[in-house]
Amino acid sequence: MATDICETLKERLGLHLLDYEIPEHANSIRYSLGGMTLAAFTILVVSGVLLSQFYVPTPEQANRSLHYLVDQVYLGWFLRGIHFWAAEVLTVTLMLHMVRVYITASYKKPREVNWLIGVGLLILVVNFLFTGTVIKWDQEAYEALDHFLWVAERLGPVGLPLTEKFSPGVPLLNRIYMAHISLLPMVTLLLLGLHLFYVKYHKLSSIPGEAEGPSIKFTQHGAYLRRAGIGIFTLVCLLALLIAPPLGDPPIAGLEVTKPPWQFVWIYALENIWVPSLIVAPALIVFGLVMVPFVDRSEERSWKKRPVAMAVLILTLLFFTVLIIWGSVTTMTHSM
Amino acid sequence: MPIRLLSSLAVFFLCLSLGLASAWAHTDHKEEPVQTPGFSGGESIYAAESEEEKSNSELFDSSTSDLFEQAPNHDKMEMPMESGHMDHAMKHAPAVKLSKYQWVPTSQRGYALAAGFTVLAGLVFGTLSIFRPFE
Repeated sequence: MATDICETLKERLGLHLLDYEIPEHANSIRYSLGGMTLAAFTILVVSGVLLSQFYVPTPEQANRSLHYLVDQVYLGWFLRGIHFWAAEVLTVTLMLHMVRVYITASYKKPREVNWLIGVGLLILVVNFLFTGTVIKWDQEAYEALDHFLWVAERLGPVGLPLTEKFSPGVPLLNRIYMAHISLLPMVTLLLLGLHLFYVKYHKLSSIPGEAEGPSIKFTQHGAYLRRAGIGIFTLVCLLALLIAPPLGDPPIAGLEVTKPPWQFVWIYALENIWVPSLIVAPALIVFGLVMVPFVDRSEERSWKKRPVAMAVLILTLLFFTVLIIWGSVTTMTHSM
Repeated sequence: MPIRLLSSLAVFFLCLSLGLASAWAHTDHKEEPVQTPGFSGGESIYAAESEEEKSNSELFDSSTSDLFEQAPNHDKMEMPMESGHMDHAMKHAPAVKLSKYQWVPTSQRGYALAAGFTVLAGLVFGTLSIFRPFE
């Protein structure tokens, strides 16, 4: 009887359309990192909607509303912890997903466009991290915004909409908050939809150098992703239970005493060497990422037969690791 | 299956260790006048002080205050070359209470419920990992 009910529901809801065949290796951690990233993003959206009930997006009350949330609201500290650690886990799974796609050369023909959409999603995630850091409006947030405004002012007319001069009557914090909860999510969902569509359209890339193996139904992969998502959620809850994310007091203008979160501390280290790297470095990185499928155009996909590509990957990872460590232990030698 | 379980655990602990590593990495700052103690553990980091409670009760006060809490010295701190001037600057340096990662104390309100929720999520994950329904 249960089977009959399932079959009936499948037919009524069109769920039978999800029974298409996909490669069996889809149910592996390597090929589910994108799904784990999506799970972390879902946790962020749900926890973010709940958090938005308590946040007041004005400069005078933003920081206080967060202190109120973690001090006074029952389990407010846990909710904020979930949101914060979901972002941290998303950063890790996103990076691992990108590295996997690069190693398996899944950006090659015919998936170049999906790689570019992925680069767009990476830029959006970076913007989420930045705006999320700013809206807590403590010293770290203020200094992050200060650096951002320094860049925006040097971009001329392009940067003008990102500055306070564009709308003097509306606090910039308010606009950043609105971007964090509306504009960025909308664009992200659009690109995410396209990203998933092209994964379906082009089908999951095969494992380089291996013959096509058995296939499974997509619903089996869905069950695997559900389990992975619950695992991600458990990890996020555990981190939120153990470690409270930082939250300082309202900022004091004119000071530079903090460092950015680890996702941005590499650029802090570069800035110490050469301040304009705040503009140059991100532009170069995005350009490099965009050019990957157009530079590496051979049909070879095995990592063993792509020594130059692997060398570039290892050097890039080492470069960022060294900068993150250096930025974490060094001190600022200039001021904006 | 053991390999898959080991792989799952490996990714789990990778994310956990990176999270903990970022917590320890976010501690180094240049000299600051005031620092909050980190990893105190013994007292609630979210303990509401009387001043905080007063300020929280004024949460929806519509008074128009300045954008920032103004420090006594509004100008950016200079970086003088002479050590004597440096001492003078430090004496007048505004106090900044910086934020740090801290352990959540078990005395935190709702901690038991949060822990129970986490354990439940872990049990669901564990059960699904063992029985693998629909996979």
